[in-house]
Amino acid sequence: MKSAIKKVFWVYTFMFLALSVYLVKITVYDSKDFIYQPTNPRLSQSREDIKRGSVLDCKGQELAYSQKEGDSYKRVYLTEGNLSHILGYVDNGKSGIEAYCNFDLETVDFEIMQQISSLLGESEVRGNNVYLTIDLDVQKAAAESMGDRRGSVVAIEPESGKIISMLSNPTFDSNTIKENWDELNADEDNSPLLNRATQGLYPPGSTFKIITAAAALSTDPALGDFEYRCLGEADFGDTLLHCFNSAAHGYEDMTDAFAKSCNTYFATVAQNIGNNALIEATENFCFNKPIDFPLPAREPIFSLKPSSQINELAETAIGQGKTLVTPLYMAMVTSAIAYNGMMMQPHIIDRIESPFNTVKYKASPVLLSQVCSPDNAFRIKNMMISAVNEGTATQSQLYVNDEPVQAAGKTGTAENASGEDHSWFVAFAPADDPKIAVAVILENSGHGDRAEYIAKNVMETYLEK
Amino acid sequence: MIYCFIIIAKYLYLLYIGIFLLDGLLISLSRQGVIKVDIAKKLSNQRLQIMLMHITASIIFISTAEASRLQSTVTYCAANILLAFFANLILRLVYKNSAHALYNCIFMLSSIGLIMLYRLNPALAYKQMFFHIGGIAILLLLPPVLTLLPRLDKFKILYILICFGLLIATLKMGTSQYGSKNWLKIGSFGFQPSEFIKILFVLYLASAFSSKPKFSAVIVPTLLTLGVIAFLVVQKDLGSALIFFMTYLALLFIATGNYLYVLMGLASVSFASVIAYKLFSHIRVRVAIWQNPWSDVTGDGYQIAQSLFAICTRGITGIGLTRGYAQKIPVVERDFIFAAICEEFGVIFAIGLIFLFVLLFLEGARCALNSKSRFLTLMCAGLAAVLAFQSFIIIGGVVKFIPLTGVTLPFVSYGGTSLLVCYIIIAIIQWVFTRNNKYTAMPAVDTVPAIDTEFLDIPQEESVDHTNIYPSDRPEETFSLNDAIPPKKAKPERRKPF
Repeated sequence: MKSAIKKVFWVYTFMFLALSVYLVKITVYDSKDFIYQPTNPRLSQSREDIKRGSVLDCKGQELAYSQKEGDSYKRVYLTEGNLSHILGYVDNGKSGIEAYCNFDLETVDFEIMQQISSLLGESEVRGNNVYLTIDLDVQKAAAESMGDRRGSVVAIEPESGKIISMLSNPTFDSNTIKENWDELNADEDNSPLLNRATQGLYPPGSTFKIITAAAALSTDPALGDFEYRCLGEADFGDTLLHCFNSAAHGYEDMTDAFAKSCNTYFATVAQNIGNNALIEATENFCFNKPIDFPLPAREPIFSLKPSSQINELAETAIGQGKTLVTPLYMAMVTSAIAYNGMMMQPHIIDRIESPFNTVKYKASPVLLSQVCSPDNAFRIKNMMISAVNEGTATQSQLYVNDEPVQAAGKTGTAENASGEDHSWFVAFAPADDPKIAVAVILENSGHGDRAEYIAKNVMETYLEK
Repeated sequence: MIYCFIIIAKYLYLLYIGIFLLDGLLISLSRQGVIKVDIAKKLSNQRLQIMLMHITASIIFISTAEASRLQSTVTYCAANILLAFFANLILRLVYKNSAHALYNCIFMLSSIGLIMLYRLNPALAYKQMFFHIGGIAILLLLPPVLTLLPRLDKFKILYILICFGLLIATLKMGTSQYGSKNWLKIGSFGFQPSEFIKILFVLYLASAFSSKPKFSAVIVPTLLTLGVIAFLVVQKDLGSALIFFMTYLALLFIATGNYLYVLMGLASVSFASVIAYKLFSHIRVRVAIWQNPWSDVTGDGYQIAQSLFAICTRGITGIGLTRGYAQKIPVVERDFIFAAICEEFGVIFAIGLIFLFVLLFLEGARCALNSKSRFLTLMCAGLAAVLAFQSFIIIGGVVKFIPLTGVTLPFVSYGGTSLLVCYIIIAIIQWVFTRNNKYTAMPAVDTVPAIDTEFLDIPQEESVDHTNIYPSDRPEETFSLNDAIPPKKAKPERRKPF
């Protein structure tokens, strides 16, 4: 009986040991997987007694920081560079990075040490700092060339998925969000609170031909050499498709057609490969999949069905169907072509550091999808180069430090039922070793004001450093 | 300034509980003769840690209190400190030679509970303090009553009849609270019969197994146990059902020393679980939540998700007393108090709390080992097992180690019935403890002479009578300091029943 009691005691001790080990395991190792949920009230908690951490750009320039005013702290935001959609605000609820990283910004590292040193009056108790992947110089250049126009710019580093620059116009001022809230909300024409870069859904226009080309080359590599005679218009089912200004492009292969953005050519190619091939390609390109991003982001929508009619296929192939994309997504597509067909997970938070520069989190590149084979990516890249050199995008030829740099790009016009068309431009540079991929959309720009200038300016600024 | 102190206090608490556990371990090792320490000194050192704990918490509560609450906060803190001090003093005066290591454990647990409760809900904390005073009264009054009762092991039919009576009454007239139909209301006074049944059930099993059970003698208690468990499952009181089953298994093993019985018990309960799983939707829901609480964090999984958020968000050292968000967890004062402790005191401290329960069980088991009769040994071990399994089930449930079944954390959670029952259990164990010591007449705990051990002035002859009443199956064994060390195996207990 005595030994049985001892055995029961040891079983019990073992059970509690296992419980303790489990408790440490979930707290130290597993907690990161589940604590970041909106239902966790601790994440949105704000502390009055500490200095909230700063948000900085990739070179360490402060974009948002807290400043002592009397007994409390006031949040100050950089007004240049059109950063408000990224940074968000804390004064009127929380949004943007301020909301997403709230917990980190409010977390005090080595708290006991900081508290004691603040008691001695040596320093403030500070939260962790968040470093973004944004390059403030590029961001400023983008904001400057954007001016007052409505639209959005997204620039990505292809090999890592880092967001170099991201802006949405019109914008708002995070510093005065509370005072201007009603006014901003009432402005339905401009919707300044909408982050067009991640939430603005636009038809892709001719930039979708990148995906149609990838679908065609994946189905049959020989289609790259497929020749066709463009008459400026052609019937697809019961729909008559025109090329731009109904210009007849004559005999052309895929590279020519791509450079001149020939609609009938790509509609014919799509007709050859069929609905299923195009649908399969869009799956590889991550259509209809949520984008995992710190800021609210809409997923790209592709609605062609295997049973869809020929006219819908033809319209979809040239980006005029029911397809809808965001500027962020188009930048991802472009950088995938630039990076051998590998679409990287886009990220905007580079690292989180304590005030003592110990790294609490560091982003690492994650492959999202292999959108097409490296060979096909290379062939599409060459098509994009010829669009820049002799096609529709000649205005985007780059000069970095007075030296010409080869860019690769594709223009697009998104038809807009309720006004002037939107103008798209996607590009990357340098073509042989891409460092930056850009997607630009200008709303209601018609055909006068081109998105190429803005993309050119952004890429040149980035490459000049 | 006060924030700084709250942060420092996090580490002070770790220090207090660390010293407390270390002293507990040293006392235990010293009792086993492994090392030699001054037990009385270690015990008073443990009491010092409890007082320091209260004082540290009081500083935080008083300096963070709003002006309107200041007076009641000061009153509460002072009352708490006085309670901790005088409860100890009285118990030491009345029982000079008793289970003081056990008392220290429960006072430590109570202190943590009272501090956390005040933080979460001052009104409940006040009520809980009065329940504690009632509990201490039980510690003082129950042992003499037990001494007057002859032959506790002869009432097994009565025990089980009351058990079933209470269960049927709950089923017929009970009211639901927190999802289980386990409350009985008499006038405005509500209590949970299933808490009292725990004690009666252990008494029944101890008396049923007090003569060495043959296989046939095991069948009847087993069937009755299954009956009790079935009642509890129907009342949706799964936590209690689990405690009863595990206690039954532990006692069966202790009484027979036969692994086969344990295996059979486990096999049959696995079978029964599968059937219950198929039969009752509330069990299926519990298991589903346990497997994946994240699929429905705003609905069924809300409670456990909030609990895990509280435990894990602040890392292993916690956020500091008064600074957590644990009020977001439903019934945090009762079942989920462990999550609140994890958040504010930190996970390391919470592990210290877990080991307080190990220490508590160790003391209970030691008392069982030293007992002179099968019945007392089984009763002691059974009651200690009830507390141990109860704490395991709720802590395991709260941290999602096992499916959640709502029971209270002994001595820590808010809850009158459960607290009083815990005190009754400790009172019984300590009564056995004083009995053990009386016959061996040795200064086991304090340095006070052993002659003064009994609470009532019962003449020596009468107590000798008692020894005869509880027949010992190990007459050749005498109490020894080395009791808990495995070396010599007594012959009778190695014998298999068949």
